[in-house]
Amino acid sequence: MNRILTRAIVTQFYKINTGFFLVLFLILFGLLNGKAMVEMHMYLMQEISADYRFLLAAMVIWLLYSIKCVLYVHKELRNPAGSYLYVLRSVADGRHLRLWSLCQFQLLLPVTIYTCLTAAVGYSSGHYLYPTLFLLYQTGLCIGAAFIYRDTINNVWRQVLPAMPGIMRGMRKPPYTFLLYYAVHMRKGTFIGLKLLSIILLQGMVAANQVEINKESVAILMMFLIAAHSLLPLYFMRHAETRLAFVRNMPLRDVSILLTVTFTYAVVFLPEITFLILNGRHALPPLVVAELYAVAVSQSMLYTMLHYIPRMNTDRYMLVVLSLFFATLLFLASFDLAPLLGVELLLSVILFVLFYRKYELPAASL
Amino acid sequence: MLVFQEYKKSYGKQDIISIGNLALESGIYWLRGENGTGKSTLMKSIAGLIPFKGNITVAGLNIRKQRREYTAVVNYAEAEPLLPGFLTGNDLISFYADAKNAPEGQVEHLCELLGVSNFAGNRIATYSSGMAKKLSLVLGFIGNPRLVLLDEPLITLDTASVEVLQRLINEYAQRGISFIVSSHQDVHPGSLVMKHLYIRNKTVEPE
Repeated sequence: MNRILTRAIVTQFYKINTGFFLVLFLILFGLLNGKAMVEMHMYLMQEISADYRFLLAAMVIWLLYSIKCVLYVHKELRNPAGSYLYVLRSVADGRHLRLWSLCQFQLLLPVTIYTCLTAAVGYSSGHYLYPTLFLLYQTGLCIGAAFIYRDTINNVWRQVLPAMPGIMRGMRKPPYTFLLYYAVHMRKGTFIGLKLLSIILLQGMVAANQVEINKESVAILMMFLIAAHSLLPLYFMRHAETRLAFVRNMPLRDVSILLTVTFTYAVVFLPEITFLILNGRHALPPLVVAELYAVAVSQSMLYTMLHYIPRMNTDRYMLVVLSLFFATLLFLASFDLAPLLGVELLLSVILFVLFYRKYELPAASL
Repeated sequence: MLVFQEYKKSYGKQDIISIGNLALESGIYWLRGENGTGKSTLMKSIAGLIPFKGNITVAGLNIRKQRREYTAVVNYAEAEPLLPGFLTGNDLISFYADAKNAPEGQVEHLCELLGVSNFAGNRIATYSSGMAKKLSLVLGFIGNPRLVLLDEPLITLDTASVEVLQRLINEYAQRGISFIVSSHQDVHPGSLVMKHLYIRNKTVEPE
């Protein structure tokens, strides 16, 4: 039974979130050189073991990740294709909970490793209380989730988790907002998570540069945020080619479809740009903020159009996203964003013209 | 009305269906073939949903050269409609009505006939398969089509709706609108003559 849960839940979770983990890995371990990176993490681990504010911050981040896992499993259990898992109702309660605890342990493995390393660093430097609390907290997250899954299965007729409120429900929905509605209704976890990540990182940058905001660090951070948003183009394109496939049978101009995609990303990146306008107005000229905004939109459009290239799959897509990220850094070195913007827009249009009408979603994706 | 020129659809190296040159007159066609012979693939090609080699023309409009005009006159209702669950039926209906330039009062008439008005204000995610099918059929009739493609229109429909649908096909056909209907059940569009199209040996053979 554990093997089935691992294959059906854990493996799928890591497969689906490959992009998320790649970006996270890049942020945590790719920014600094080897020695500086080790020093930074040692510092973080020591602070988590000694300073309650760091401990609380880590607990909040762990909780967010745990919620992501719980929402994923909950969705799988509510999915008709996951109905076979309800056979677990016939398993003894203790074993049922053990199975889900083990499953949740595997889902939390990335943060568990960090927790254990933090505890080791804390204990070796003579701190016992906070590392122990951190370990207990991690165990609590694991067991708590197991109870939620068990209850979901045992009380199938009840809505165990409160449904997140549908944003903008009841309002009239013009067609050019369909992708946005999709993001805030069907991908609200991802969408809200991305916005939270953006605001936390941007706030962190402002806090770290209180005297003067460094233009280059803002630009690099924006590139990270655009890369972090690279999941959305994947979701948007799949949605457009399945549930919105009927659009291809509509007498719409191709330019309307391109403009809809542009409008979608223009709205998606509004929170980040609003933050920059409000917090960086002394250091960042309006033109630079406008250019960063345009790059965010054009790069996301390019990410979307990449999916229409024949034989593009998630792995290749993530490779291109990473390559584009590093290529973009070269442009940032000169801080001349205009050519980058032009190239990305042109490439997006070329890819759209070349491949959009010839695209057909592989049967396996349906 | 419908002309195929060197039409060919394949997946990788596997040929699904090829039609050399074929011209079909106006009328109601019952597209028949065993499971997996490519009925839905052919319909999706005609609707412009999937790419293919060759050319298709409907009422003199070329799918490649006059895509907008072409899609304005070719409507399609798929066998198992996959629609965005976060939208309401009304959202989709108004989108279709706008894009396909539906005449005044048409949408209300169709919704009333097929009983969609009762639930069109609810989110599609809450629909049963029969309700989604009815919505998909309403969408298939919206606008001023010259050709309506109905892929398995009778599945999951209740008996009353099947009769309504057959009356609707009859009503549209009398106005000169053509239909291609794929169905494993019998379709009886009133007194109108139904022509047969068979998919055999990876090609389409008219009756």
